[in-house]
Amino acid sequence: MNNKRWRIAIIALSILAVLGISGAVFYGTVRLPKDRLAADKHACEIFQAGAEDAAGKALALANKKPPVSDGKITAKYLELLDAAYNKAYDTAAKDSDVYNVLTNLGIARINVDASMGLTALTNLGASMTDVQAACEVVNPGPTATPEATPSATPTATK
Amino acid sequence: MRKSLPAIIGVLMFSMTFPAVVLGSRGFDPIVMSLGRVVLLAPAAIITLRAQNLGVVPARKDLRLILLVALGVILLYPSMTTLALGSLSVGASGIINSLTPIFASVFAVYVGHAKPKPAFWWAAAAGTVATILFALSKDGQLTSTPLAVLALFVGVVGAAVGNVSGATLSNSHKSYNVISWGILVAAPFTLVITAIDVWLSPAHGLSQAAFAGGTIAPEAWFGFAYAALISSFGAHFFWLKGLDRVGVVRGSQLMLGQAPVTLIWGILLLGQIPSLLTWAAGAVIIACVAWSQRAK
Repeated sequence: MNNKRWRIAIIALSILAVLGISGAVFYGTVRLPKDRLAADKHACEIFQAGAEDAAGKALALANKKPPVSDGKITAKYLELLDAAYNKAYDTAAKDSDVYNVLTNLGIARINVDASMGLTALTNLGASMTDVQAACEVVNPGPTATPEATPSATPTATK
Repeated sequence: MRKSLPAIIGVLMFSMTFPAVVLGSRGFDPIVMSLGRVVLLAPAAIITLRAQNLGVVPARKDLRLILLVALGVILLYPSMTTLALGSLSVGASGIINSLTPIFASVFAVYVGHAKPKPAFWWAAAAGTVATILFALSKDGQLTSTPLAVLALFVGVVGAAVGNVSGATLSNSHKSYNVISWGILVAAPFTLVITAIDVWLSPAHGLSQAAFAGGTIAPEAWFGFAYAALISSFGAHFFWLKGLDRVGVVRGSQLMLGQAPVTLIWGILLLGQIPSLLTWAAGAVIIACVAWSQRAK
């Protein structure tokens, strides 16, 4: 038995074990949480920007003359919100709080459509508030997710 | 056939390890899943040794080889493969894992246990090149998740070194005593590392899904229990006992059956259907390993 070679094997395997396992612990406790937080922050930014844009465009439609129907306003809002939602959902860290509230919003979204008019937006309200709350945790700041219902009282007619 | 039965049972038990690790990882993070499970085995190892009136500390002359068993089979292989399985499919991991006998043979040559014929080196080179080519393909995922593939290779090297060291000791000790000493030598490290992970990780040793949901799914408990009791202990008992009976060369050939059975478990338990390329790469790599073992 070649003692020197066994000794080298022990040293080499010990180095591999120290590097590999400490690398795994570092990755799991430092790097991965950082990456997940960054992904959630980015998802929130995408969603908030998209929701603000959707609310802004819906409001502009609501104030338009001649008046635009509630259905059309809602359809525009949902179209823009859906686009932002899909990007945010793909970006968020899987199984994070942000991901979970976005999943719930997605479920709520399945149950509404533009034909419901502004009721659709009211029905999304609770889930939108949850997203806002989750996003404030990962991304504390003055920005807030706009309410699902455009704040202007629509003057639109059917 | 009867003589080979323990080795065949061992291979069948090992074949479900990767799918079990994937199931377990739905409830636990990679460190708890790989090293935490070993902590639980320490009492079983103590009982095994004390029941035979053996000391829980190996004899000084065996310590060097036990250390390699602990480093390779108990620490490196479980941790690195569990980490890799977070990104790689069970099929791709099983195929790359089938290189273990070649790496073990190369290590046996390095420490002076074997002097293979030139054909062995051709077969080993062909098998390694085939594995690297597979790893570079879309299914092998080396380009998309290089760290995971690298971790898997490190784990395979650890298993190879640990197996050769364990087999060397099996000439003078019962196989389950060898693995028990390995577990006990590694236990302080696994305990400390697991404690650090549970303390520092945001999900406290659980997977993100289990932490967020507040419960650990039954399949995760099954995966954890299987990986701990069967993969890290029971399978080694049958496998090393089998190696004692049939020898390392025949045992290595039986080991070739592990990758295809792992692919089948992946389909049955996880719904991961391997592509044609994975099956083909598996066939080529297994053929190369078989060639290398015959050429020794």
